[in-house]
Amino acid sequence: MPSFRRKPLFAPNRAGTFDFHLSDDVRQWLIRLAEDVQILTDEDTDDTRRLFPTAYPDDADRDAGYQILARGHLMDQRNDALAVMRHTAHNSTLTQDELAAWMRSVNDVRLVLGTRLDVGEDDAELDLDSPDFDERVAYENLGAVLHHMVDAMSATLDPGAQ
Amino acid sequence: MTSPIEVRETDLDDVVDEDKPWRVIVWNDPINLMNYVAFVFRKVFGYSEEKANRLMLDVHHKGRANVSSGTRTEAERDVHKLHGHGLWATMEHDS
Repeated sequence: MPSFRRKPLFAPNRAGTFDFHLSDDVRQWLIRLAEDVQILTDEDTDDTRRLFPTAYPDDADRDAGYQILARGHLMDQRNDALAVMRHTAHNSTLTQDELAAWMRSVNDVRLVLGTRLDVGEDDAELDLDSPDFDERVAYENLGAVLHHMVDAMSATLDPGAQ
Repeated sequence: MTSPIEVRETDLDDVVDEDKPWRVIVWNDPINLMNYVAFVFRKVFGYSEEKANRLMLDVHHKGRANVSSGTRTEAERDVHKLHGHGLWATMEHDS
């Protein structure tokens, strides 16, 4: 009898790493999107504002100081994550740190795409006639991939900590 | 002969303000997945699954949650970690 259960895209294995079941096409698609986000970040467009949030909403001077220190570090983290994606693009397994890098990049892409699409809490079903249809589909697919990543990474955490 | 030392009066109100604990607030946003937000709370703060889920639901239903507190330096460090994971976090303290 066939099973309709979906195989996890990232499965913890006995070696303490994760089996990496994404197709090559999807891996390359994710890397291209992360590269696009990196370019947008360099250009500092409005779509990337969620990647560099305010820390002190009521204190512009303090926030300016925070941004000077934080922005470069956040950029470095994102560049490092993209480098890990490129380096592990053809791997059959990922370490925890490598999967964390993929997850960070995928979430960044969702933040940028979601900002551009002005996603809301109560958005309606996908509209085939919408000019944003392709981007909405990409956004939903990124959410599905991210969901699998979170499930896999959560399995490594102690459920009763603190 | 020693030079006169200029004594600047300390504004005690400023000192007291700095000593008050800062709160780290995570705000609801329609983009981040709920299970991702809970995962970040567990990873960054070492919270239990139950506590992380409770805070995540506070964020989702109440619009915000106080996820940690401490000195300004500690709060800023936590905010920076949350920003690194794409969460919308800010910090505040009682005036």
